[in-house]
Parts: sequence; C-alpha cells; structure tokens
Amino acid sequence: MNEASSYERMLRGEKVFSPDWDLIGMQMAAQAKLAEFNALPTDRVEERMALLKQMLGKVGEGCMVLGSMSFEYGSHIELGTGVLLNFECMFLDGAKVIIGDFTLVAPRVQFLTATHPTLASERFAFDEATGIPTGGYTINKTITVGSWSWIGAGAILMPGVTVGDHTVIGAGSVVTKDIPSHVVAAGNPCRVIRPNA
Amino acid sequence: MTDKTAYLQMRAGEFYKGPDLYLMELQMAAKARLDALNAIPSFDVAQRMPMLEQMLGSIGESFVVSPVMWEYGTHIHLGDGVLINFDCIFLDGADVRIGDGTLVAPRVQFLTAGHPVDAMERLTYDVATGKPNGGVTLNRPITIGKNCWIGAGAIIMGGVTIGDGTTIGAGSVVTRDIPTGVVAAGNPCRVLRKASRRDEAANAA
Repeated sequence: MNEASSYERMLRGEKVFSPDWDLIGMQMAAQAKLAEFNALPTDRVEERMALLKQMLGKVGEGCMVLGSMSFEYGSHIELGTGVLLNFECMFLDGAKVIIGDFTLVAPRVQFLTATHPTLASERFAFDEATGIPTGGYTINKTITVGSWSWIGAGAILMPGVTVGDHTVIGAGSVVTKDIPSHVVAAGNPCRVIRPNA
Repeated sequence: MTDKTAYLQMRAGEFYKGPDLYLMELQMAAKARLDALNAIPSFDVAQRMPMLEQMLGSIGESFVVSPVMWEYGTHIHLGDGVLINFDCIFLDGADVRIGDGTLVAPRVQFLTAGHPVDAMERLTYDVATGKPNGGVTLNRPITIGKNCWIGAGAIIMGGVTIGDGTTIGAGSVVTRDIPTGVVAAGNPCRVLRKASRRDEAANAA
C-alpha cells in the first residue's frame, strides 16, 4: 500500500478520520511519558529537562516548564531558547506548535491546532448500513508564536494562527486570526489594541 | 547568606529579577507541601485544615477543594466561609485577600504577577555577552470583598479590587476594579447591572 499514513496526512494538514489506532497508540505512548514528567517535583530540574528533551520536538537552551503541562504528541512542539511555560499549559499538537526565543507563556494557555468541520454531517462519519456515527474528522493547522512575545494567562490560540515577535496577548484572549509583531492585542476575538514599541 | 533582595522587592510591589534562587526555594517548598495537600481528599478536613493553616497566610473556617495551585501560599488570606472550588491558580507574589462568604468557582485564576510589555524591558541581559539571562516581574495585590461569587474560569489580574456582594461572570477577564453589589462579566470585565433582588425582578419583568 502506497497510501499515506494517517500520521503523514495529519502533519500535512489534511482531514484525518478518528478514532485512528496508530495515532491513538502514539498519543498513549506520549501520555505515559507526560505522566512521568508531571509527577516529578519541580526541584528535580535535571530529570525534568532530560524528559522534556525526549518528549518535545525541540527544547532550546534555558527553557523552563513550571508545574505540569499537557499535550497529545509532544513531538510537534518546538521551543526556542529561554522559553518559559507557566502552570498547566495545554497543546493539541496534531500540527506543529512553534514558539520563538525568550517568549513567555503564562498559566493555562491553550495551543489548539485541531479543528473540525462545523457541519455535523461532515464532522462525523456514518456507518453506511445503519446510519449510526462511527467516528469523526479532524484537521490540524500549525500555530507559530514569534520571539520576545508574552502570551497572557488563559489565552486560547486557535488552529493556524501566527503571533509575531515582541507582541503581547492579553489574558483570556481567544486568538482566531494572525496577530502581527510589535503590538499589544487582547479580547475575544483577540484584536490589536495598540503598538508595543 | 541567602539574598532576599528580590523577595523584598516583590513584596514591596517593585520590579525584581528572575530566576531568583531564594524565590525558587520558597516556591519549591510550597510545591512539595501542595503535592501533599492535593493528594489528600478534599473532604478530609481534619487532616487538611492544619496543613492549610500552615501553608496559607491566614484562613478562617473556609473550604479549599483540590487540586489547587499557588506559588507561595503564604500571601493568600481567606476569611470565614470562603469556598475555593477545584483547579484554582494563585500567582501570589503579592497578597490575594478573599473576604468572608465568598464563593470561588472552578478554574479561577488570581494573577498578581505582571511584566513590562516591551521585551527589551521584560528581559534581563548578561552585561558581557548581551544574552538574555532572565526577566523582570512586578506583583500587585488582589482584594476580593465579602459575599462575592467569582464565576468559573474567571481571570483576576494584579492590582484588582472587587467590592462586597459582587458577582463576576464565568470566563471574565477582570482587568480593572469592580464596585460593590454588581454583576459584571466579559473580557474585559464590565459592570452589567446591580446585584440586588429588586433589580433582578425588574429586569425579568
């Protein structure tokens, strides 16, 4: 079979059917390591860093993760130099989540690369014989955050968004569209409030 | 000798540099105690209350549901009859004071910590190499009055005071002071109406 695997299609941003047992297998393996990481006390710095480097796609020098975090795969998360992730950040990382150098991520920020068709008839797959739903479809889009930025607590970054360099996203913002460099932006939906210079 | 400069600056509401060894020491000690607290079922008050009394700045006859997360604990002051529902977060470099009879719904965040929005000011640099070696933080106290209700997932920013008897809607981002006796909601959180029963009835009519 030359057909692309569901994993390859997911990374290309194509529609993927779930449940997919290959993807679930990868997620379960990632969850096992993540549980180990989250159970390690904050002061076991070296062990935590070693695990983090095993789990994530990239961990720059001087990165810090405070408390616990959660993700689906981990391997698609790329942290630049000196990135700080505060308590309980969440990554649905079916696509890449790339965070630039010296960017500060406050508690409970969510990076959600996963999205679905809004029409239930397209979101679900149905058994042809019975008409009963058998699963659903997901598309993942890369999220990119620049360098020297600060993402406020509880902000939610939606699939495909790019946040520029030197930009501040207010707490609780829902970032549905790209936000340029050198601005302060906030709100739901997140809008540019003023330049940050 | 332990250098407590950053701690004193933090408590005075001034900018301080991180990472700071003494602050990390305090946070790690607090985290170890938190892990122990969070491992005990929330309803085991007999076991948890003495722990909470040790960990928090002060606590009356109040109830804290686990899991709960804070940086220091010692700067949190809860009155009598306060309920902290599960999964709340306190960045408590400055004081967080919650008055008697106030109800805090799940996943509320009290964030006293702030930073400069300009990255050049937010980060600190090694003088010799010019490389960033940390950042600066400033903490401002949060004060919640008596008989308030803070809705689930609300985020309360540093420096905010919320008056007695006020209700904050779920998911609100409270960036400025909210007066006494109102219902306020949204991002940013704004006053919607007065909280009295009489007004409620008038609105419903």
